[in-house]
Amino acid sequence: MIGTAHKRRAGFTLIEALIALALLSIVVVKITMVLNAASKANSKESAAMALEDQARRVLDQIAYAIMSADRDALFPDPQSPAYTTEVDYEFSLGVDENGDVIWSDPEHIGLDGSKVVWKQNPDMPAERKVAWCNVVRPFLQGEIDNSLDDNDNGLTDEQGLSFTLFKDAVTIRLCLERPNKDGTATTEAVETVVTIRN
Amino acid sequence: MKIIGQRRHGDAARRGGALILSLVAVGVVGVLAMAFLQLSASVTRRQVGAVDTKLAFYLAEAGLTESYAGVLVGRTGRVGSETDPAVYGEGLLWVERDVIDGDHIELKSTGMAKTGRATLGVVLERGTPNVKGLGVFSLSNLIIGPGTTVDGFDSSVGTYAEHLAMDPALMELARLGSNANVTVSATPTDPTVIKGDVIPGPASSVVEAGDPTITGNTTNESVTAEVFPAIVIPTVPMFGGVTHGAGVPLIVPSGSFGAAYLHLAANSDVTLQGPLTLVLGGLQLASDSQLLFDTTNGAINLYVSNYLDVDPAALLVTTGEKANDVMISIDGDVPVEFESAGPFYGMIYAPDATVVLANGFELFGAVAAATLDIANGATLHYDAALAAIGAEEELPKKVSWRIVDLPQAVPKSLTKDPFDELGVDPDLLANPADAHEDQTIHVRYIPPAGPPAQNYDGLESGFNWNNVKYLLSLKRDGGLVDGDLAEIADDGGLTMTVK
Repeated sequence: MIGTAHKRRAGFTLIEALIALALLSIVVVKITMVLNAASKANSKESAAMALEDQARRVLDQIAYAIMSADRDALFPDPQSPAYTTEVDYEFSLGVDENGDVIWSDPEHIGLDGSKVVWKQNPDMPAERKVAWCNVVRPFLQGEIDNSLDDNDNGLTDEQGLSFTLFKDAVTIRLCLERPNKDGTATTEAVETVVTIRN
Repeated sequence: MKIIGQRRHGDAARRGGALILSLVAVGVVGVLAMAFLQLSASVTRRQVGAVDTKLAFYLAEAGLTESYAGVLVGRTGRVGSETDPAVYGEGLLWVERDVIDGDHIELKSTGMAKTGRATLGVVLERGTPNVKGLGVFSLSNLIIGPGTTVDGFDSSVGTYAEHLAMDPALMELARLGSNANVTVSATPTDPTVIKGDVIPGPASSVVEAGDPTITGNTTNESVTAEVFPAIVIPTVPMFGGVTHGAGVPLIVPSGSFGAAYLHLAANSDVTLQGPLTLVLGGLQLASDSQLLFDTTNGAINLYVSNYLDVDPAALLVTTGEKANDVMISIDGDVPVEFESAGPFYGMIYAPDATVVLANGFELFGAVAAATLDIANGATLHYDAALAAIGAEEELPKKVSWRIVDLPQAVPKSLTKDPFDELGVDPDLLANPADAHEDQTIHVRYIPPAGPPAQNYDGLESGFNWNNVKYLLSLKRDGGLVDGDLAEIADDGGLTMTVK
């Protein structure tokens, strides 16, 4: 009698197996959804962090170049709402034995399509060129090409890289945009104000 | 026995792989988390490195500012050193000084904050000594004749006429001085009015004859005589002499050049257009000639070496009303007499010559000469804005600013300590204001207890500034800091400028 009872309880019925499988599937799907969402959030945040990091590094490079530049030779005085997307400058290398300032070779920072390009000796045989980044947004965040100041910053249709000068202060604005695999885009805009010290 | 067997069967039936699956899942999640942590750690290190570099950059700028402030009051410009830096906030800084030539020095400031390091450099040029703040000044006895009117205004606030319209009390800005005695004369028919200060030289006095009106101070607490800086005539292309006759006015364009002489014949007109630096061997204005200083587009600096003859009926006229825009520098012992009606807005500087301001001459600005004789009836209006302009011109100027070194390497460690790197204890380091290089000073002062005046010669580190109530003079390494009477504020603050 006891042996028969054991033989009867061995194994699962089909219904039990199906129910177990269904429950397992639900759990696995849930876990997969959570992992997927976490992975997407992680990717999005990582992309945003990396893009912001890149934007700040490029902004710092531009800022350090502008700080050392000769104010009188930088570019004409645009006042808001005007702006420029490129600057030509020379920076101080020090002074010679007579106390005269020694200026560097001419340099240029500007947009070339979606790239921020630095050039030394622009338009000369000895020209050197480096792209500091290549994901510049066509227009600054919040701005569209409609001859209006959409983002209320005093500028009209400003592009992803812009310089505005007021007295000795230069406001540098940079907006980067990188497309994501899901069709969306990650956008980071950074801005700083530097004082020209020469 | 049967129950145990049943239990064994039950244990076997419940045996499964759930734990293994759980471990696998946890392992996968763990690996993902580690990967994410590594990525964010590297990004964090780079961002923190950028932030630390900026901190170091600002520390270096703070060092430059502190050093420059020290240079303004006669210090060497060195603040701390690499072995004994100054501590500021979470980092440290020091400033080194290199002499380029007699008129230029370079200050290099290094800032270190956590993982960041930055070195910035600035080249300073010696300021231009001038006498614009002295007003109407004579090295020898100053004689002011009867009928003379001297008052003042501030062209940075408004024109002379606007001052008159606002409040006559605003005109009491006159400043007359001498390294010797000042004699002020008046008569009942030719009263003399001086609305402002008349300052005699050290151990000298103001002699009043005939009851002139002087509204300001007539005593001198300073023990230091004024010294006129020599005129440095600029090197410019020189041409032959020019004599211009009556008829078509001669326009001297802006630029920098010179001539052996410029003679204006009777009834002739010559216009000098600024910005202009003109060097003349001699200048002569005949009767009814006019020399017009057109400062519409810039200032005019006129240097005259051998002679300056101005006919009493000739005119010296300026288009602008800012005295700082016209400077006539007379080099050498060239006797000069100005008698034209003017009005003339500008400054006249003759450190070796005798200048006579005769009856009818009206000057808006300032005049300083070895000997100054203000004859009866001259009218002088001192432009007080010249004092601030002159003081600013005497300050060292920044010629060049540059980034010497700005390493951008990504740090391997987030906990790098610059104090450990240099082997210094932050608790033992001074702050930047107290880290200036020690110097020999000569101080003449009045202690809190009152006169007599005391002297101190020695290292500044050995001097207690709390013992000073009134500062009479201060020299740092032989360089005179402004010797005017200066009171130490209750908080110890003191403002001085270097001459």
